[in-house]
Amino acid sequence: MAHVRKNHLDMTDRERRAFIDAVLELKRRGVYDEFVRLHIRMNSSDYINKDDGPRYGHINPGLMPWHRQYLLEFEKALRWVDPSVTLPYWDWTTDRGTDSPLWGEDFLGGNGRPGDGRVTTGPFAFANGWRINTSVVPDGPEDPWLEGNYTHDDRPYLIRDLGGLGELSTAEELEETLALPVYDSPPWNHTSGYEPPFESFRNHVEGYAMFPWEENIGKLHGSVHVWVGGHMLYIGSPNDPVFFLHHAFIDKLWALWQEEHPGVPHYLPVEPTPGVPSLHTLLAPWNTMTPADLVDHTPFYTYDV
Amino acid sequence: MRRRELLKWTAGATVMAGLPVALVLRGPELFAGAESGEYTETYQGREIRVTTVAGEDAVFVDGRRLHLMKFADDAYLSSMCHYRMAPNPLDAARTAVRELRGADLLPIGHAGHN
Repeated sequence: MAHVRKNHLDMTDRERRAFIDAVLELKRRGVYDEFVRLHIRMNSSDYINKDDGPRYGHINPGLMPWHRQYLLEFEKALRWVDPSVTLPYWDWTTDRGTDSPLWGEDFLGGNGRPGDGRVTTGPFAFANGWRINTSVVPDGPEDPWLEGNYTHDDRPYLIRDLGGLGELSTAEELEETLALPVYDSPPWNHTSGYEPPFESFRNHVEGYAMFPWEENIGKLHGSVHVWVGGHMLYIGSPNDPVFFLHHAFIDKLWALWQEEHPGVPHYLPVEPTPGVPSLHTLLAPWNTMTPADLVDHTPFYTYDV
Repeated sequence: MRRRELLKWTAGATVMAGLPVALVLRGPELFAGAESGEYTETYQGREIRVTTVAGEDAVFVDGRRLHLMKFADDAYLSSMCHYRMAPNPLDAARTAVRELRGADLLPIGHAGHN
């Protein structure tokens, strides 16, 4: 039977503790950092190939199914540590404060301190043992960026800058994007859906498309990465465990959008298309499932509401 | 004194003089290896260099290359600001300096040494 993913605000204290303990156990076993590394590598090749090369997780229709599988794999690992754990989500359209229980000392910990931005409270504080290990320094002769290795910095501690760089997108902004009836459109990248009739729910959620009345690129999905700041702003964003609660909500938005648009294709493109996963393309690096296998989440889990 | 410390000290002096950013424009003739004009400035005590490498836009912070991704003529991402566009490479480099908060970029192997 499919398990239930809950809003973190509706978790019991025991559920909160179990989730955090499972994340910490994955970190101890080195599994957590493998997930960070995988995301950096995929991000790297996706951005290099943004115009026409093969891409899976970002700047293309694969955003939704790829992250659905990424989260499924992460949740599977959590449940291997503790079968009672499921991935919680963070609904930032209503849960917007720096005083949210999200940032509590017993959950994800608080904001970074003034000056260096170091998180000093909660389970992901450096002093409590959470180390950033994704400083991927290449040692081979190849172009390091093509290997998925990015320049990063020498700080071993988690950084946050809640609200320091931008605003969270609003519920109204989300409504406008959820109303778009087409999942995605050519050229299947960061320019899809720019012009009326804005035929890319995916690109507007990802944040690279905007409506003429909007000011800045980087809304919805993007705005959360910017609002949390610190590592969430960097290419190694999964270093902050809030990444997984953020993307669990993005995943829920795909399901919500499908409910609002029952009569349209819930994934596009259907036909094989150069560079991007079509409905029946196996998603790298797992090569076990296609968007068609992932478009309905209910065989795997359900959402509480 | 290490070069970076010297730059930090220099930046402190310019702040005291009411100039938050010291700008040094250099012509292309001073950089035989560069493919186009180079631009350097000291920003918050860090040396930013904007140039091209193998035909690509490139920026360096204290001599270490920042990974920069060009989306369009007026849209750049970097590894230090991956979810919001910068309008040009210099802006991306300044954002990286602010985000580094005094920390160093790690070298990226042969491609990053200069």
